Amino acid sequence: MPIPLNYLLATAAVLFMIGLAGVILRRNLLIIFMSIELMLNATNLNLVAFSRYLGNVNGQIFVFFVLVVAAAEAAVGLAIIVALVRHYKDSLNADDFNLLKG
Amino acid sequence: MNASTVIFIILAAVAVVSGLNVIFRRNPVHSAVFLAFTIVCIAGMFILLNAEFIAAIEVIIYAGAIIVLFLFTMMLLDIRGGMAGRQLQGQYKIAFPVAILLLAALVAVAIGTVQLTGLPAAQISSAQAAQIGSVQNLGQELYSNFLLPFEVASLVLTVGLVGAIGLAGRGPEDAGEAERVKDAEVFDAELREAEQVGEMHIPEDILPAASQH
Repeated sequence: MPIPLNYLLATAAVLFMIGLAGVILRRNLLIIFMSIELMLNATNLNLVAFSRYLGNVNGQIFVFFVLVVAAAEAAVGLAIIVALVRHYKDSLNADDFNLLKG
Repeated sequence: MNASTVIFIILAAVAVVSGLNVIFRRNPVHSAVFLAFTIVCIAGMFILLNAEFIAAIEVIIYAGAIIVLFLFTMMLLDIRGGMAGRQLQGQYKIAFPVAILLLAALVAVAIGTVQLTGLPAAQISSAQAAQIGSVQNLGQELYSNFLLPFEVASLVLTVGLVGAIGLAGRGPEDAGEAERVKDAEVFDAELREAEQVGEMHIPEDILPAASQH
């Protein structure tokens, strides 16, 4: 008897909500980024769980592509943070960056 | 309750506690280390789900590359500057209850889906699952049915590489900017000198402030 699917989905939901709460609550750009990674991982857990219980490999292939996008996103996002801090404002506080505010 | 369920519950508890630490630590370095803990726990869950290849690349890419990238960024930036001031957004009084409500809804949907639809319909045995998650099977799928997305993935990574270098690298226009500032400084100094010597009279409002640059 494998792990009940309920447990997996509930764990993924909890991890996703922790990530979402981090994005909404924190002001530090780096921690907002880490929370996004946490949310992506929660989704990965769901995909692998359904892949296991439906006997379909496509879920795992999707996780592979999510990892590719996460790697590219982390590289570009951190480069944007480095560029912002070096050229615009010496801060990591998300409230300090309001260039697009009307 | 069998052994794999017990291991899963332990991994899930560690993952959730580390995840809470990621968002509630003041120091981003601690957050990054706790994120690594969470990733390792999730990789352990993948192993329990017979997805060994995915577990391996999860650890390699997340713990090995992305978190190290985070730590490098923190090393490059003076993170103490970003730590000043309040850490939480002002809307946390509303956000906390909403987050907890949404969590309850998500868990209810997760459990309700399983109860209502009767998933999993057909029990997949552990040996079958291991065969499905094997490197051979994944590779075969990736190079046949998912060939185009696989190639697009390489394009995404190339664009990410070029974008990261273009954004964070010190390009030639950067040097040009520094030169322009320097030229302007020299010009201002000459202007002020001329004014002092009395060669020419410059109105006060045109003369730039000495502390401008």
